[in-house]
Amino acid sequence: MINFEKELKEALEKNGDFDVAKSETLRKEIVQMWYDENLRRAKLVFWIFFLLCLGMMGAGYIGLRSATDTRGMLLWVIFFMIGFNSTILMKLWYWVVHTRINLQKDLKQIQLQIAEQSGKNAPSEN
Amino acid sequence: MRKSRTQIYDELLILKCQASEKAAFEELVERWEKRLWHYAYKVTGSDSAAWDIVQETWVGIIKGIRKLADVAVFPSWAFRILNNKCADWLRKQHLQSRIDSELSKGAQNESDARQDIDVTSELLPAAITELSSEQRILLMLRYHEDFDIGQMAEIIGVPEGTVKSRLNRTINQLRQMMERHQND
Repeated sequence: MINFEKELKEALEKNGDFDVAKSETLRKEIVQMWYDENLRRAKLVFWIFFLLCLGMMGAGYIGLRSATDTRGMLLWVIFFMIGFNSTILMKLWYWVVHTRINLQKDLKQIQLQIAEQSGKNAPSEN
Repeated sequence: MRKSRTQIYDELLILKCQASEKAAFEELVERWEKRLWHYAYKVTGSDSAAWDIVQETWVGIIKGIRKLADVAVFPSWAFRILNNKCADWLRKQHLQSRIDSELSKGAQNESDARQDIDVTSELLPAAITELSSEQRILLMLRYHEDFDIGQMAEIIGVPEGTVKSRLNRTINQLRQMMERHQND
């Protein structure tokens, strides 16, 4: 059974001609695609958030101008302030996401170092 | 189960990609490109189709890599995308071959061509090419990519029991084919 599996692995290993030049061209295209996608996503997030904040601030301003009582004025001012402060929330959200990723990256680095060390310290098979 | 250094390094690369590091993404592509291409090539049997499928797979990976919450599942996730792309290609080919056979009844199809392979020179690789694409997918995932049954079920999108039974059936069929060829 083990021999058959080994033979099977070897048979599946036999490859077609992997075109290295084509692979490099494709890699460049893919990396460029990734860069464009990142840029597109960043632009999209920025514009959505910017327009949302601007809309809230605009609505707050118009509401404040048209408010007739103190309570209404206060509510519209709060609405305006939320729109204005959302820019800070956006930065906070960005910070949270990146801190999480950086923390995970650091943990992986430690895991990698441990794995490398344990590989070095492992007794040889001879 | 303890992870190998390669696995941990891949996970680190994916995290770096999520943090928008271009060099990390380039390295990830470099590390995975050949593996993905090999799988696509074995399943489709066509060099150009394999390249197209790999490119489409990377487009899928680019779109989803940021949403990948658990970086440890990257191999099975990437292979699920690849497998779906391969399945799409095979469906198109199947449709095309049906249209072609309708147009010219005498035309020899791909599976006939496969059977012309000299089975005496390389028995096992030739027997593998005679299997259906679904069976080749199972063998590639299990014996080339070393996925376990659970991961295979996730990639193909069927229950684990089904994967086990299909894999057993494929191996038995492969053995029978080889015995038959040896007798011939």
